Amino acid sequence: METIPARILVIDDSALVRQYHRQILEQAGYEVAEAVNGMDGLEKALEQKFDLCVVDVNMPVMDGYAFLHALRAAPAAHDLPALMISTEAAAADRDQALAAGANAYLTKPVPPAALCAYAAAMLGVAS
Amino acid sequence: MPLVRADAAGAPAPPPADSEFLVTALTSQDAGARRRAAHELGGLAAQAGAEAKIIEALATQLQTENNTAVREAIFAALGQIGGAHAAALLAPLLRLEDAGLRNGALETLKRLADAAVSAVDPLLADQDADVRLLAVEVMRGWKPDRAVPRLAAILASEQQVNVVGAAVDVALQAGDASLLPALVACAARFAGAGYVEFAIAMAVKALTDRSAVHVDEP
Amino acid sequence: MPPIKAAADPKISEADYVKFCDYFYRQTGISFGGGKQYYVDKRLIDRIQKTGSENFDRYFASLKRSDAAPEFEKLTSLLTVNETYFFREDHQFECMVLHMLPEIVARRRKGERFRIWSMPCSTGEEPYSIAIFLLENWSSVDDFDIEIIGSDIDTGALAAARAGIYEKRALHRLPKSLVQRYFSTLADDRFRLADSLRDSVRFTQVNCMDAMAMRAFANIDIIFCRNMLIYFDDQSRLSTVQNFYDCMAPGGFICLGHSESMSRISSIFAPRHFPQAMVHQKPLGGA
Repeated sequence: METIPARILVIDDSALVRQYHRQILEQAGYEVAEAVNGMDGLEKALEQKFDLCVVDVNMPVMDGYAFLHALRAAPAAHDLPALMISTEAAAADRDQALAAGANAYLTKPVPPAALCAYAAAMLGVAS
Repeated sequence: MPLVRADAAGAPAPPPADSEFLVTALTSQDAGARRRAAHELGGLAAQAGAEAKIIEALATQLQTENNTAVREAIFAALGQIGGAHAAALLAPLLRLEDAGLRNGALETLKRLADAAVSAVDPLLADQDADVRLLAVEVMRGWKPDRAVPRLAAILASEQQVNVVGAAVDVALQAGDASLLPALVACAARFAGAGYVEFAIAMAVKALTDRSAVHVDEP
Repeated sequence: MPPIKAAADPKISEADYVKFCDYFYRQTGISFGGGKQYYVDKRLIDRIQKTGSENFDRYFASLKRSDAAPEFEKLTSLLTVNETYFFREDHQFECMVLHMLPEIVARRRKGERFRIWSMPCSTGEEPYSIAIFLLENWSSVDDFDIEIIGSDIDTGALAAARAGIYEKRALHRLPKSLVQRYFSTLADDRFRLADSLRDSVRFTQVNCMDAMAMRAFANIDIIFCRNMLIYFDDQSRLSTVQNFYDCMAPGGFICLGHSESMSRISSIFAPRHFPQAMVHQKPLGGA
């Protein structure tokens, strides 16, 4: 049976990081789109249907937390599952991410297997 | 004809407020007043020759400002004024817990280019890896002859993988082939390290190709 | 008598180019990357020769004198791109009629005024297009006073806009019926916009980087700023959109060019996604 691949929006200001995550996720069979910061991510989430977003914290114009805040307030996209990724590893940072509206939190560098496992779980797919 | 042509732009522009009034307005209860004050101060100080008092007032307000539009106006004003003094007051914000303030300071320091060097240089050796990482990011705004030796040093000795990752990214953008040996040596130090290995491979390829080194934006 | 040798073209060194670009950016917010050197040099040389300056250094020094404004304007005219035509990116005009205006006028009473600003307006195609599009497509066009303003840094372009005379190619997207309705044909295959339309748009010179000059514009409901910010660097873009924010009425909209993106510049505007276009809005509570 043909299934439509899930669409994942990768939001990070580093083109290299986006490319890296894109490769991992495409290899796992997902369709990937990119955004360069939180505002770009918000616009794309409003324009197109996504099944998951992977969002960095440190970005210009609109950081990851501000993105989550705006996303959760947007009728058109408020329930988009969000995996937040950050360099900061303290438990407090994880708590802050979840409080801001992230569904899950991973610290950089993200092992490819972890990224795929989390994506699958958040998309409701048996991994 | 429903189209009307006014002869004037509407109400004549209010006379420019003086800096003392604006500095006071920076702490107004009304966010709109704070935003307008920051916006005007940027133009005022940039023209008059940056006044230390204005720069300090703007930087001080940032410490307690929660409104996004006001923050953006303050950062824009500091970027417009420019100079080493503004840079010196922005650099400590890189340490803050608040992601908006951290990143606003980072972007403004990038725009200050050379003026930010003396404030940011010491942060490249900071004991906090997250601060070192952001300092590396600031170098995106620096001329290659300044950034390249610092990048080479980081690639040679930095232990923290995310700081190295940032340095590789900036090295790719700097596009200087003299960084190739440092990148190759770094790859050996971080063999198997997922993203860093990938990033170094991309950077080495790009610098070796001697082609345009700007990774395409979507 | 030996033949007089024609003076060689003045040379612009790399250092001169950098010095000029830095100066021009500080004056106008427009920055030229490395790839534009030929483009800029050619035009500099043209002005150096036309003004009879000996060389770049003399010309550059003359630009900074207090009486240099007319020459600076001529130079800016040459350096700023003026490629435009009627009904360019008209999907945004559709969006204006179908979505933006209904929201704006829901907050207005009949007979009240609202203001649309085309900035930069270049030679007038955009503000005149807005006028024509509204007259032709907006069912409520007679219920309100509509003020359309066109602004640009380039006085030559503004003069052309006021004159309202266009080549055929500028009209290529207009249906014949609209050309007939709003233009008269001139002898040399050019077209002149009807007086009633020419008189209905106000044209003004403005440097969008000049916060003081921008303060003269207030309560603007819709701004069309297309294909200008792409020439600016990050700081100039940020300063300019902040100037725009200040000029806008709460709830006002700003439309950039289709290949441009507010998302790389500022987060103070709310993105509004409509079927025809993504535009940005000053929050209703924004002061």
